[in-house]
Amino acid sequence: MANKNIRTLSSRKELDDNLFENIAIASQKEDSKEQLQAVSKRFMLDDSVVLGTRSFYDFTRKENKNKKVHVCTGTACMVAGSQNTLNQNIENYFNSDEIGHAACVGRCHTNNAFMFDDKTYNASTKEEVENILKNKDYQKNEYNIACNTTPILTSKINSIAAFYQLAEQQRNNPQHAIQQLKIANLRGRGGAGFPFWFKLDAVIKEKNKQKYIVCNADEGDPGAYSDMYLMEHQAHKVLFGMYMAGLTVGADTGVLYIRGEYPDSIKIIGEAIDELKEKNLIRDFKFKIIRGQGSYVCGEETALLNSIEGLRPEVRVRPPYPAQYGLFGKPTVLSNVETFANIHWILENGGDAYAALGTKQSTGTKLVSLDSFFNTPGMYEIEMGTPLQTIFDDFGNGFKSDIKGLQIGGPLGGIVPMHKIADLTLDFESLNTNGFLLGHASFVSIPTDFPMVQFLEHLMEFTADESCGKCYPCRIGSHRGMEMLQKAQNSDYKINRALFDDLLETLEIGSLCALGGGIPLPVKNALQYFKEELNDYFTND
Amino acid sequence: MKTAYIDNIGYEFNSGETILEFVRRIESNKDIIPTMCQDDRLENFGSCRVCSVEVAREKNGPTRTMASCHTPV
Repeated sequence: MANKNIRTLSSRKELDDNLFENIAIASQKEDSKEQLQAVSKRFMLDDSVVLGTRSFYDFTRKENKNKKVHVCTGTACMVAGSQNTLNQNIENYFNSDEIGHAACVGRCHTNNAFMFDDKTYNASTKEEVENILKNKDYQKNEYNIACNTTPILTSKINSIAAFYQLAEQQRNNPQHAIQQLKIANLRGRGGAGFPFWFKLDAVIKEKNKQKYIVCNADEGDPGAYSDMYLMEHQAHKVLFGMYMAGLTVGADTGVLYIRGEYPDSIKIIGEAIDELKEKNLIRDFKFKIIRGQGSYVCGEETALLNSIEGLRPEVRVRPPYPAQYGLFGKPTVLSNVETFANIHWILENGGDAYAALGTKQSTGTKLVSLDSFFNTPGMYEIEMGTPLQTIFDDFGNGFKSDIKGLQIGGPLGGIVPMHKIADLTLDFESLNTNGFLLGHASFVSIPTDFPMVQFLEHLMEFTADESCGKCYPCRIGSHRGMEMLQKAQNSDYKINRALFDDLLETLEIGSLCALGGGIPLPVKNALQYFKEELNDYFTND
Repeated sequence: MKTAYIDNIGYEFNSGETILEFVRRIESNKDIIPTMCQDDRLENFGSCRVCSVEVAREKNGPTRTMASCHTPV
């Protein structure tokens, strides 16, 4: 009930004078205490509500206010072993209390990544760091881009005006669009693979006059930068998808929730929206960008909605689903960047043409992010159903050094040992049936000499840091898991295997959302495939 | 008639009823499903997960664990 009241108060000023943005801005001010009190007064909220939100996020927290540089602590940078040296190099210019961290800034292809002055950088040498910190020059985020099939997401848009013309042809026939997306069998690219047409169909049936389209651009999965690629190189494909979804279901507002670790994406999407306005290419629809403030759990759809509303981004119970009760309690179509980016091609070429690509159940293409351990890291658009080995050979061109396994699909994705790669193809089913996940299709290599126990500790620590804290299994369980793995490395303590298995089961079946529920998967993969290595840390007594 | 089963015995359920409400209406032992964060006077919050039950879509089918307080039958 309390949340509903706050939601109502927040929604009175809605998106133009957004509570969350107000809190984020006030948090950075010199007199943040007074500024935040002014916000709560203006929104008729208790101070505790505003402080509750402020204290949740990495970038708004009081203790992080003086952080000037954020060093990437993402999985890909961690396994690359680049960040200790980077930290030392940065410490030559900043006090250690001015150096914070960011969980992946999307530069997994080169590592040595950090964020400074609202820009992201890679810098491997002392000189490079010095140059960046002194001159604050813009460093373009460059990586290889290629495609092994009909390019849907990586093709070039020749004329923006012609591109948006398609919406005019389709706008009076929403059922046609839904039908084509159904035939195409476009599934949500955020990881869950939910049929996208179903969301449109559910929202179109809702009677409420106010509806929203929300694009989940909080690509928090360390190792994945595909959403970043789309926003920075294919902004209009994303915006068109949202616009078209809006015309289809009768929504007049599209919100992009973009993570704060992607400052370039925020800028480029903003410019693309301005371009649409200038050229007058869209009608009866407005866009709004909401900048994330450093929280992984905001990628969970209901936490994301709460975040936009300025509430603490705790996961909501479902039902009700966002299609019925979404942003500000209104019917909402919520999907991932890559899902929206597919829509133009499907409507232009037809659902059948899309369904002809990929496998029967996993149609179309998928963007794949390869990390710096590949000889040619980068962003590759791969037809679903392609063998992983083919991707590694033809696009990654093999590895720079010895690799024992990969984590595929983000921190909640499976840990795949090298000998299983040959059995797998890039689609939801192949990875699922083998006990892994497609997720965001990010590939983070685990070097042979990188201790698996340390990798697991990293995953548990990540979950403990990023847990929203609402449900007990995730909030307490992730901490206990992290503590056990730390103690086992730092002392002669051995983890009781039965106790650890109990913990994993509780997390898996008891958690409210996919964060606590998903983290046992990679841990269980590691316990199965890297048993010998991990046995030293466990006991059966 | 809409029927749901508790330990394989069928009972009629009301639409919109949560699993917890359904079980409490049927069972004589009202505490048969333990709860912690749930209270009839409050909106179901779903944080403690103590009321989790195993749910199957068909007899002897695969089960999923769900919090009974906020899951409709």
